[in-house]
Amino acid sequence: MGHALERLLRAGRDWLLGEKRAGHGLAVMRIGYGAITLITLVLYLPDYSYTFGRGAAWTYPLRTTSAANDYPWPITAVFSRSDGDGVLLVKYVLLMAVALLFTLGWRTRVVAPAFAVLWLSFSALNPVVTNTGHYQTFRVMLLFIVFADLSQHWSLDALRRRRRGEPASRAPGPRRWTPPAWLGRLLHNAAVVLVGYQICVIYVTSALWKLQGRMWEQGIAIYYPLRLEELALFPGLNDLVWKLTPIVYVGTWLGVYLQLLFPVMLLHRWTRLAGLIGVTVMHVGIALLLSLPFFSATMLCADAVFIRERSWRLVADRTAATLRHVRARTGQLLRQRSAEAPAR
Amino acid sequence: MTSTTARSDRTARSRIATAAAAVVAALLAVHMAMTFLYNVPPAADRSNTPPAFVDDYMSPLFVQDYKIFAPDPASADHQLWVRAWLVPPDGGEPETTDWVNVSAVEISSRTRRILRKQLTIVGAERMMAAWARLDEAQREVAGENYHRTGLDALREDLVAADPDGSPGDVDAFIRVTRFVDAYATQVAYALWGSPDTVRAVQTRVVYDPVVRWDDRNDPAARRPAATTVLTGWRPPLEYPGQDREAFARTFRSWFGA
Repeated sequence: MGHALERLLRAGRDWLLGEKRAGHGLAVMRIGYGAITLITLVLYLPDYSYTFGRGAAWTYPLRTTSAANDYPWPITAVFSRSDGDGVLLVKYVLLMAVALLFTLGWRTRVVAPAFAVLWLSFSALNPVVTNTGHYQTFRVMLLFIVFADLSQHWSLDALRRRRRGEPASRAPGPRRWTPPAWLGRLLHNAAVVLVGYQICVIYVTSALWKLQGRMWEQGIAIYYPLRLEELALFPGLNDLVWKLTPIVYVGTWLGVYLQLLFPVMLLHRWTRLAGLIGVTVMHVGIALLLSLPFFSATMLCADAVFIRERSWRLVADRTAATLRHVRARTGQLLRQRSAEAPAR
Repeated sequence: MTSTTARSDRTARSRIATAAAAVVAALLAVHMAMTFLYNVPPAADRSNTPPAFVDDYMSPLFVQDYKIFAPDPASADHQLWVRAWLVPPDGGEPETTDWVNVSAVEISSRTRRILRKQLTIVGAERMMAAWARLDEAQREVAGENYHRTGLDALREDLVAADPDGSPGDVDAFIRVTRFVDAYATQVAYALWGSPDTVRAVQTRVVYDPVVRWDDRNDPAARRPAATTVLTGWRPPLEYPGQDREAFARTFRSWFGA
């Protein structure tokens, strides 16, 4: 018994202090969360004042009661409701630029925390919108992943290090003050634990909440959201789906039990695969049928940490091989064509 | 450096690393426990909110809510409607405008539909929730007109109508009243008039249920009757710093679309 406990503790320590986990999954999160932010900001841009600026001063009664007003410094130091729309626009564009750098993985050690601070500061402008729904999950995940090394794969940082012949993983601190390498790994792996745990809490508790409702038990719950005007992105598509009674039953039960059992399904390779495919299908459905693409993307990007590094590497290698092949083939074709071209 | 010192150096470092890992593991455990307690649905015999120490820990940075389409999904379209009462400055005939479904305006374009959540739908839902917590006498008061006496008078009368009731419930109702009143005022300025002509605004919340599951295959099926919360006329309300033009530009472009 004592032995087993000791083994467990040692395994836990080695997991936390060992190599940085889920590097590819975190790269997906970085790229995905950066892109979600960029797309959201671009879509809001034409009418930014209506939701976030002086056009939205009327939202005062509800935006002043949000917990977002209690965010600590330095989050409070960037965006301010007393800014005019011109100043807001400048800061807005700055946030877009930082989101782009975050997406590309440029100097992530500095850019990731800067992005988190800027985004949270922006989201406190009108929390009636940006502190509800998927924005809450987005905020929590973002706060976790700033502790991780987001630059290991598919980033400008990784590209630069490869060119210089440095190791793929970043050093834990600036050159002048170098903390021990294990500290970087420890924080990184702690962030991975938190992301994975958050996903499990989301799925399990939302399933438990659903089990308290009668419609989910009856197997008809997804029928109603499919018919709401607010949620119908392509109403014709929704009509196709709700008219198929078996789909409604299966979709409703899967919605509950896939979520409830998700953490258990992670434990074995094949059930994990089934679980991940299941939640992917579910989120794609939610995105298209219930007008919630950003919620779906926020969840799916975080689900990526559950895909093993080996699987990601396989995908990455195959993609690279295909790209090389395509490049070689186009090069060949181009050379052929220029050889065939008549001389002027 | 001799190899002995190097080794003892490494051992010391690994001891520090292990201690740090233990501290981080303990912090993770605390955070994970708090997150779970914060989100897990209460058992039937417990109060509806997480314990105060959990709330203190989670707020503000970790505030979250995973009642997603739960316990039961919404089964009605939630709408805020707005109209205004106009009195021409030259003493002409007063006029009441038509009702406008401003929630439909906010979701009129597909792009805007995915940028959730729409402010007027939040307003409708908060109003419905606040209304549900008023008692019969208070609802009667809320239905009265206060465009002359103002919202402070409305608050006093709501408290007087149920002196033993919760002041928090009245506060919540007044807060959301200000929210929808201020929105209605901007809509009135954007569509119909100016501070010189808009004498009062009125809002109503409509929950319009979709066809029930059992009737889904009946082509003649009608939607069940809507639930409507109609409050009285309110004075125009505008907050400092409001850019009327910025609001109007956007609102008009969606309204015309």
